[in-house]
Amino acid sequence: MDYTPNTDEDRESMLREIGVQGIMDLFKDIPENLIQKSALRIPDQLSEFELIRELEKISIKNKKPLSFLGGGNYNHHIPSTVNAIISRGEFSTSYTPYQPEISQGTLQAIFEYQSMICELTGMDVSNASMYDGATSLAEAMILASKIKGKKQVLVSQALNPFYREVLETYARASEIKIIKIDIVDGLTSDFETEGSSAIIVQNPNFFGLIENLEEIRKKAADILLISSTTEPLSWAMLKPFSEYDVDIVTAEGQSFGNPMNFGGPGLGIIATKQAYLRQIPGRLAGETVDIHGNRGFALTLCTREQHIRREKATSNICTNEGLCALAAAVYLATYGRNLGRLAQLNNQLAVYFTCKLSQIEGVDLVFDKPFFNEFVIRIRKDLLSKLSDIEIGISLENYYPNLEGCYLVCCTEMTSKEDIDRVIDEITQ
Amino acid sequence: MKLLNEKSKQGRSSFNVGLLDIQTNIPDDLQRTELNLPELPEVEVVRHYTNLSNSNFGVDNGLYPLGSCTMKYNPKINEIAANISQFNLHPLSHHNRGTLEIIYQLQQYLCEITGMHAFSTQPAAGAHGELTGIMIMKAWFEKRGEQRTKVIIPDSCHGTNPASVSLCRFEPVHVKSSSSGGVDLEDLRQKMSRDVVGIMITNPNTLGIFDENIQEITQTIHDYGGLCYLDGANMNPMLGVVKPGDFGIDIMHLNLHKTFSTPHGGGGPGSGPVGVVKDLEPFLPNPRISMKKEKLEFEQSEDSIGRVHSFYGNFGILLRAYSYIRSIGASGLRNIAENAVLNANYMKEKLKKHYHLPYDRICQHELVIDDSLMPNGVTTNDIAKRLMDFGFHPPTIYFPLIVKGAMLIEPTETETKENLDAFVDAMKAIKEEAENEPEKLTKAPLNASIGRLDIVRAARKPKLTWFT
Repeated sequence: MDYTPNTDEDRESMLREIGVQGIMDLFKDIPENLIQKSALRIPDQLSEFELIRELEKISIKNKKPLSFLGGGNYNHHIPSTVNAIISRGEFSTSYTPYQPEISQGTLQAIFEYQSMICELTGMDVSNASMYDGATSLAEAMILASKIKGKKQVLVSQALNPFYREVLETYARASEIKIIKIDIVDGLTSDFETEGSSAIIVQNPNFFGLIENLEEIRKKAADILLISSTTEPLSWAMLKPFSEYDVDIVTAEGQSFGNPMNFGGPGLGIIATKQAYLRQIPGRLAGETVDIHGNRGFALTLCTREQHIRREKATSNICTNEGLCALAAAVYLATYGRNLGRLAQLNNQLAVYFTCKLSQIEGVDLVFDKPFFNEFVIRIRKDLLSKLSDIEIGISLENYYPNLEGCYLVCCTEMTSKEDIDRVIDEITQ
Repeated sequence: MKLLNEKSKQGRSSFNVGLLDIQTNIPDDLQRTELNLPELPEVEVVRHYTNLSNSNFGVDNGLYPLGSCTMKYNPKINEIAANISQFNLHPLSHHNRGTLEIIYQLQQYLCEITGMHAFSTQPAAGAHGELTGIMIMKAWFEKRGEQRTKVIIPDSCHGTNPASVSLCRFEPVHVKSSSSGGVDLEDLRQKMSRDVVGIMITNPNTLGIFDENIQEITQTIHDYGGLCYLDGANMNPMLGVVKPGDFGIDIMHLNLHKTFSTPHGGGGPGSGPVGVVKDLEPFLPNPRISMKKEKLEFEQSEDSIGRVHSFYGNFGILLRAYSYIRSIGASGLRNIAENAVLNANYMKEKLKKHYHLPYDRICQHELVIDDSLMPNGVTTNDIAKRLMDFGFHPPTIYFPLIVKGAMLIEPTETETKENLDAFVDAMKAIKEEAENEPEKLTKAPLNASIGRLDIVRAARKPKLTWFT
């Protein structure tokens, strides 16, 4: 394929207009020794049908067995409306809406997205999106240390281990000290707040369990409480974070209308109390009026951002995950209040699975506590080996040495009761 | 247009979910009592967003010469490629050979295109790549036991550069541009010391100029033991023509959503892979995907800065970029550079008859004009708004900061000569209007779905949700 439309004749006349002999005259600022003399070692061009044939050949090297993997990336159904909307070129091929008069579609959609995220979380302010769940949490950590002026944070070990790795990376660069908070029986244990700016927990936590945010809030009276979520569908069923006086909510929003895609693009969600409005990172869409007094939307409070404030900006983020936020907005608008029922179904399937599993000798539910759609089992090796064609869950022993032989199992609406029964059959056969 | 919540009516949602006859394990006191998401029938949801899209402008609508953003055509085949269901895999699935092959091959292609030794595709956008790059520089000097604090940045830089630097607790030090638009070598030499971590340079820079002294610049940094970071946002005109690895670059990022045509999505998702020279490979984010005994696997390095993404970066975008590179091939890549530069220079020659050109010399993929010749107080902002009435997206405005009233124009290689001519004609007509009917400009846009918006009011009384 070739997407450059200039014909030989076009090129000739354009070069004439410029007043040069050949194309290479336009590269004369590049020192001669740097100009490539030979072609790049990249395969020759392909037609559309050859390309698809090639890609399909590679794609079938992937296998997709029955899977119960979750832990930060979820196999949810994507309503047909989502792709119909996000594939519209007016949305997908536009840039960040710097020129609001011809970007009202993107801007109103972001404004509505921000509103729905605030409805779900109970928070006052949501931005237009961040890269993913882990980096939005890292930005929250930096935000908290700026607000409190203390370069130390507490991090629950019941936080997704990959997120903990990302926090470590950002903390090292930003010179923030991380204090690890232990887990007791699957939940975040006691902690001392002195010297810290915030405590970071995950809810539902990495093991799928619902944390006791009320208790944590009480213990964290003098520091900020940051809550991360990897499965925001749980929000449709659980009390909003505002009821626990959480300061900053971050999440991975992939569950809302975005495919798994090997973990990216995701959708970084960040929402805060009103008090932190002027310190929040990233884009914000706000309501205003045009010269005729009509309602319209524009990016606002840009003096927080890198293109204005440069080294004093609240973050360096520029491009975020706009189209993923749009997908989430269409997803939420499509489900409406039925999102609550979808959340219930996810929970019911997980409960059904644990009931069935707990009847099998050699399989234990490790934590006997309320969970949303993920739970941890310990399974005897001989039983596990019967499930060679099934991805039963994420092996936890690499991340938690004391959870040897344990797996994090996830159910979504894509899991049918028959799928669960098949697992039970294969184990008990 | 009405908001979703204004169109909502209880009981209207048609997206039903059947439940099982199973009791939840979640106690009542942990459950929410209400969920006020909007309720619309499916057809109204589709119409809502379809109508919103009608008040949006994308590359699919017309010429979008937004400088430094490379708004080229985004081939539709890449969307088909990205939706091949077998690639929609859970990131922790072990049945991932096809996916790893795509990532690995893409890494190899990016190395070949840039002359770098190794790439990580984890960063999710350009600024994320910058941050990753500066983290690598920090880790490099930590490993060597050197305490350095300053990062040199030319004054024509993108705003993300100093912001990325300060996130890593370094101090940005700006160097001036020379009268011809490149880095002022004298100023650079004066600012050099053993305290300098390195330079963050954009080349071709945001004036669209390839710095003819680039080798002297990188040599100067290397003489003091510093590292050279290239902001690769402007890679488009270098494809197949010149490799950053050949002019002394140690670390760089690419914007796949610019150079490699993945759609920008109204503000992402993008992808900002980071490439490094051999010495810096151990510092790339963990894990890396590498080939061991003809087998692809994840590799951890002890010196790595660590993980910078929840999983492995924006695979959906990597797949589109891979598909793009394969479909156009090596000759296609060179073709991009040549035509992008040809189009920009052609436009420059035609525009300079009507507008002031602060740097009148050969440019690469983009050019800068300004509003200094505009009569009747007409500004760059007015010109931008009026361009909308002519059916064009405006250029990047008031950037780079070193040109007062700048308009940074990047036509890209995918536009026809007729489109370029039409844009120039519009700019000429606007100049004439500025002389004869300036109110047409100061009140523009006149034909957009909405009039000029009050940006000051939006910031003074922020209303960011439909609740407030």
